Amino acid sequence: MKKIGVILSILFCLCFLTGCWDRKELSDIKIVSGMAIDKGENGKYKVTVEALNAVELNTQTAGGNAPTLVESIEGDTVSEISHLFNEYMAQILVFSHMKVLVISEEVASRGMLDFIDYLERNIEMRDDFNIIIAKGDKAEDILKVTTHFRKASSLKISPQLDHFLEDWGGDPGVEINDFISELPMEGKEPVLATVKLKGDVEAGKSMDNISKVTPDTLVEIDSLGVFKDKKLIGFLPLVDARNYLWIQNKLKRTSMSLECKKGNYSAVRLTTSQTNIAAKWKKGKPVFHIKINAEGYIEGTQCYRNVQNVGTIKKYEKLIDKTFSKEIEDTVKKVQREYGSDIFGFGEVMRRQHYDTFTKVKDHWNEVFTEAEVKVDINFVVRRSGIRSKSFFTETEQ
Amino acid sequence: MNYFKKILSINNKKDIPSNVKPEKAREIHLNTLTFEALKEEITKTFGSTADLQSDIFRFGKSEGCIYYLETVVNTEMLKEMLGSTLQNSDEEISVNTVEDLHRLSKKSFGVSGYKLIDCVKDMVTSILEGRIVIVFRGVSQALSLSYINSEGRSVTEPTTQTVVRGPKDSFVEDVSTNINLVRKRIKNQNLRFEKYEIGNETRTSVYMGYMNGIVNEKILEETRIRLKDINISAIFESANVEELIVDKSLTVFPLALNTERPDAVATYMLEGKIAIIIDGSPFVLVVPAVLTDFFTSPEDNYQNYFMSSFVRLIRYISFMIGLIMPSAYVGVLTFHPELLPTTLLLSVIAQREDVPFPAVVEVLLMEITFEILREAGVRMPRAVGQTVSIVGALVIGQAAAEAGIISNIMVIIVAITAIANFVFPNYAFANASRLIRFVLIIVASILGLYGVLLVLVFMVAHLSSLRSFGVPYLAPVAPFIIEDQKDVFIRAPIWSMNKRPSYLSPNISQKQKAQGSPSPPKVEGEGKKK
Amino acid sequence: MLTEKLSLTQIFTLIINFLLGSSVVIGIGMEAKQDAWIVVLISMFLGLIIMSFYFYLMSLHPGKTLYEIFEYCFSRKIAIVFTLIYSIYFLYLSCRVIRDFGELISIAILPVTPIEFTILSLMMVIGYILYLGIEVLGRTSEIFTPYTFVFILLLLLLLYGGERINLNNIQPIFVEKKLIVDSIPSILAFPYGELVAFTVVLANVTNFKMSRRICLISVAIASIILMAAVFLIVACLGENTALRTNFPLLSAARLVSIGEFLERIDALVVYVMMLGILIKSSVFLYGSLKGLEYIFKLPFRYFAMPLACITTLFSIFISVDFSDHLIEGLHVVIFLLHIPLDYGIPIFITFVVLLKKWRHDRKGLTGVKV
Repeated sequence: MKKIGVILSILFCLCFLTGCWDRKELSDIKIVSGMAIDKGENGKYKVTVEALNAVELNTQTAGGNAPTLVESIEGDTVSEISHLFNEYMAQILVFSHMKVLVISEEVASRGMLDFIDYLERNIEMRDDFNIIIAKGDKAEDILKVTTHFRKASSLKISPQLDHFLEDWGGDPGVEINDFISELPMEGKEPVLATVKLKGDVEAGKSMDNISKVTPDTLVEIDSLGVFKDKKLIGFLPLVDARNYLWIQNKLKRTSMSLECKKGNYSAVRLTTSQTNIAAKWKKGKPVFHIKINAEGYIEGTQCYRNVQNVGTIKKYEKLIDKTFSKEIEDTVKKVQREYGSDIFGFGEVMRRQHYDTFTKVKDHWNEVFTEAEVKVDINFVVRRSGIRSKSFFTETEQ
Repeated sequence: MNYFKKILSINNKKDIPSNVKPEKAREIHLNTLTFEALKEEITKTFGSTADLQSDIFRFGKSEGCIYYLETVVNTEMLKEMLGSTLQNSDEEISVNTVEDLHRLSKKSFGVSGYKLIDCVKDMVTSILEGRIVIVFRGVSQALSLSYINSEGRSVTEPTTQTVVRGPKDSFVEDVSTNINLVRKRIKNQNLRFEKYEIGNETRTSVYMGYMNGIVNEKILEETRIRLKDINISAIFESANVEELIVDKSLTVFPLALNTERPDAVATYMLEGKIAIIIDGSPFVLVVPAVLTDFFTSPEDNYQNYFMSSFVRLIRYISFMIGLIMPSAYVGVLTFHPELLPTTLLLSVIAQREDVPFPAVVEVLLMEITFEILREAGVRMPRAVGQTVSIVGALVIGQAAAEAGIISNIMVIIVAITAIANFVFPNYAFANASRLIRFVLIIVASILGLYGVLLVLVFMVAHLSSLRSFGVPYLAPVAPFIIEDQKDVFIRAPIWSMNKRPSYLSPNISQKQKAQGSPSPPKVEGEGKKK
Repeated sequence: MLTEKLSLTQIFTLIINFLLGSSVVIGIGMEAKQDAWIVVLISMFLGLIIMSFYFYLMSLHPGKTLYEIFEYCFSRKIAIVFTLIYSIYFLYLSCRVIRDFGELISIAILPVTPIEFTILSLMMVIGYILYLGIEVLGRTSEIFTPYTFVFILLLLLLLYGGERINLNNIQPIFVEKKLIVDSIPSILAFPYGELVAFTVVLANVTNFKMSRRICLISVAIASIILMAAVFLIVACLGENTALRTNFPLLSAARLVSIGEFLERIDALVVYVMMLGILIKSSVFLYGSLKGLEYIFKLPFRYFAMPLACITTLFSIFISVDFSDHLIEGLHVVIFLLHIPLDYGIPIFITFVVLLKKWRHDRKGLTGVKV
C-alpha cells in the first residue's frame, strides 16, 4: 500500500511540475482574420496578415483607434513567415479564425499556388475561409482598408461574399476544400471571386475613411477569375458569374431584368432553381443538355399589360425562358471561345454519366470542351406578383 | 526512518494517569443482594450523580425503594402515580413474594405495561431508559414501569427538503414520534421495525424498518449483519451509522440516502428499501441507494408528469453544468480558443484585457471564495445567512470584476455553477459534485478538454464499480433494465408504473394492476342500432 | 474471486464500440475512392460470417475462454505457448490502437504536449477500469454508447443541414470494380479480424445462447454506422481529399457550420473516437490479462496496472513516426500477424476440437478406443 502511495505521488508531481505545454493564455494570442499573398521581391512570397485588435472591436471598450494591425513579411514558405510575425507584433498569432485569403493576380497568373499545401495541412487553419483574387496591384491593399461594418476589412468581406452569393449570385462560394479538389480534377477547372479596390489605398488606411458617409476607399466585388491548368487566365463579368452559378446548381436567389418591350424592362426575382445536366456523345462530340426548373415572382414591371391575366404570365414565362437560356448559352460560348477552360464542370458530368468514354478523353478534355454543344432549357414558373395586381399605368395605357 | 520516528515520539505527551476508570454495570442477580446492599450497589454504579433518586417508601406492611432518574422521567405522571397508587393503599397489603408483586402489578399497573427484572444490569438499563424501578424488601425481582418523558421538538416543516405541494411534516429527534409518522402513512401489519442498540457508551436505539413480503430477504439479512457488527463508542447522528454500514469503498459519492420527510421514507419502503431510524436524529437513512435516487425528490410524484419529467431533466443537465462549466471555461480559453465563434472570442478577449491572472488562477480564486461564502452563509444566523451567500458572492464578484481582478464572464460562470448546484434535492450528492469540480478544473489546466473527458470517464468507471448493499450503484442505467426506465430520466404517469424497481429484486414486483389512463366517460346510446 | 457477468446489452455496446473504435478514426476502404461505402457494405456480410465463426468456436465449449479451449485441444504446456503468443499479440494490438489515438490527439488537439504524457494519462484510466473488472468496462460502455449514437446522428444531421453533403462526389457508383475488390483483403484483418478478442470476453456472458443473435446484430449495426460514416466522409470531402486526410471523420466534422453559431465541433468527433479506442484497447488488454491469468493462475487484477504501463511504453516504441505506424499497421502486419493469428490458428483449433469431440463421441458410443 505504501508503494502504491509513493508511485501515485510521483505521478502527481509529474503532472504538476512538468508544466502545461499547450497553454496559450488569452492575453498572449492575437487573432488573425485575413491573409494576403503577393509575389515577393526578396523571397518567393510576401505574406500580409491582418490581426484583430480585440479591444477596438468591442463597442464597450472601443477608443476610436485602428481596429486591426496589418503587416507584411517576405519569405520562401508561408509557414515560416506565419511564425515570424513577432517581428512586428507583441502576441502570438492564431490563425484558426481566419476569414479571408486574398491572392494577388500576379501570384495566381503565374500559378504559384504551392502555398496551399500549408493551408491544408495545418490543423489550426480551418476550412471555412473565403478565397478571393485581388485584381490590380497588390493583395495587401485589400486588407488595409477600414470599413463601416465591423471596422476590419476581412470581417466585412467575408459576409459580403456570402450574402452576395445568397442574394444575387455573384460569388462562387469557393472554400479551400472545393478549390483544392477542383485543381487536379480532369473535368473541371476552378474559379475564384475577384475583388478590386475602389479608391485610393492610402486614404483607406485611417479611421477618417469610415467617418464619411461615402467612404473614400471601398472593396468591391468585381468579377470571376477563370483558371486553366492551375493558372489564372482571365476574368468574367459578374453576369457570367451568375450564369456560372446557375449551371452549377448553386444559385439561390437572384433578380433578373428582361426586355418585354423595346426600351421597357421587367424585373423578376428567382426564388428556387434546380439544374440538371444530361450529357451525351454525338459523333465524337459531347452534347450537354441543361434543364433548369425555376420559380419566382414579378418584382416590378415597366410593361403595362395586366399581370392578372394568365396570358400575361405565360408571356412573361416564355420571355424569361427565351432570354436567359440564350444568355447562359452565350456565357458558355464565350468561355469556350476566349478561354477554352471547362469551368462549368461539364467534364465531371460526363464522367458521372459516361464513365468509360470520358476516361478516353480526360487528358485533353479542355480541347474537347471547346467543341461541345450546349443547349439550355429553362422552365420558369411565375408564381406571384407582389401586393399589387395591375400596374398603375395599365388603365392609362389602355 | 526509525530515527525520525523516535524524534516524533518524544514530543508525544504521555497519558496522565488517572485513578478513575469507567464503570461497568455488573451482572449481579437480585436475590444475592440484600435490600440495603442493592441500594448501595445502584448508588455506586451511578456514582452519586445528582439526578438519581432513590427513595424508600412504605407500602402497607412492606418496604420498598424506588429508583429513577428525575431528569429522564416524566415527574408529573410519576407523582400522580405515586400519590394515587402507592400512598392510598390499605394498611394490610404486603408484598413479600414475586406472586404478590405480580398481583399488585396486574391490579394497579396492568394497563400501563410493566416488566419484572431480576438483574442489576437490567435495572441500570431500565433506569437509564427513563423507567422507574421499584424494589421491595425480600422480593427477588424488581418492578419496572415506564414513565418516559418524550419531550422534544414538535413536528414542523422540513428544513432541508422543502416542497411546493405535498405533506409538510418532517422527522424529529424522538424515535417514537418518527415511527409514529411512518406508521400513520402505512397502516399495514407487514410494516416491521427491529430494534438495535448501537454504540458502546451511548447505547443509542436504532430501529430498522421494512415491509415484510416486499423487501428482498438477502438485502435485509445483509443489513442486519452490518448493524450488528458495529462496534463503536458513540452514535449521535445517522451519518455515523451510515459511514459504518455502507460498502467499504473510497468514494465521495454517498451510498445511502438520508431524508427528513416521512412520505419519502414511506415511498422508499414500499419500493423494497430499508429505513434505519436513529434515536436523536431527524434524518432517516434509507438503504440501498442508487444514483438515480439522488436525482429524485418526493415532490416529483406530486406534480404533473410533464412538469416532473422536465424538472428531472433539468436536474441532470444542471448536474453536468455544475460539474463541467468552470473546467470547460478554463480548457476552452487556455487550450482551444478555436472552438469559440469569432465574435464571442473577441468580446471575451476584450474583457480579459486587464485581468492579470491566467484563467486557471481566476477560476480557482472565485471558486474558493464562493465556497468560503457558502460555508459562512450556512453558519450565520438564519435571517442574514441566505442573503449573504448568493447575493454577497455576486456583489463581491462584480466588485472584483470592476477592480480588474477577474473578468465579467467569470462571475457569470461561477454564479451559474453555484445555482446549478443548489438544484439538487440531496445535499450529500451536491457535495460530491463540488469536490469533483475542483479536480476537473486542475486537470483542465493541464490537458485541456481532453483531460476533462478523461476525468469524466474515470468518474463514470468509478461510479460503475460502486455497489450499495450488493445493488449496482448505476442501476437501472447500467446494467440497462428496460422496465425500470419509467422513473429515471422522466416520470411516467402513476397509472403506468405497474412494477417495483427490479434492481432491488423485491419479492412482489407487481405494484398495481395494469390500468390504462383515465378516459372520458362513454356516451350513452352509442353503438346501439336506431 | 467474484465471477463477473456481462449482460446482453453490455456485449452489444462493447462490440459496436470495438468495431467503431479506430476504424472511424483512420477510415477503412478509402482506396476505393468514391465507392468506399460499397466496400464497407460488402465487408459487413463478411464480418457477419467471421463473427458467426468465432461464435461457433465458442459454442463448442460455452463458458470457456480461448485459452481454455487450447488446453482442451492440447496439453497445458503447449497451451501455455499458444497463450503467450496470443497475450503478446493482444498487447501489440492494444499498443497500435493507443498509438493511433495518441497521434490523433497530438496532431489535432494538443500538438506540443509530449505524446507520452497523453498516452500515459489515458492508460491510467484504462488500467483503473481493468483493475475494477470487466463488469465495470461493460457498464461504462453501456453508459457512453447512447451519446456516441446521438453524436454521430447529430453529425449527419448537421452536415446535411449545412448543405455539405454533395451527392455528386459519390457518383459514378460502382464503376471501378477492381479497386473495390482490392480493398477487401485488408478489411478482413482490420477491423473484423480483431473480433478474435471476443473469444475471451464471450466466456463471461450471462446468457450464451441469446448472445449469438446479439453479436450478429451488433456487428451489423456497427458496419452500418461505419458505412454511414464513410459515406459522409466521401460525400462531404470529395474523393481526392478523403484519400489524403489522416483522420477523415475529423476533417469532415470540421466542415459543420450552421448559422455561424454551431461551428467548430471537433471536440464531438474526438469524444466519439476516444470512447471507441478506450473500449477497444480495454478489450484487447483484457484478452491479454486473461491470458496471463491462465498462465500464472493469479487473478488478472494484479496485472492490470503494470500491463497498462507496459502498453504506454510500447506504444511509443513500436513506431518511429506516423507514416511508419500507418505502413506497418495497415500493410506489413496484415499477412505476418493478422491473418495467421486471427484466422489460421482458430480454424486449426476448430478442426482439432471437432476431431476430438468426434472421437470422444465415438468412444462413448462403442466403448472401444478408436
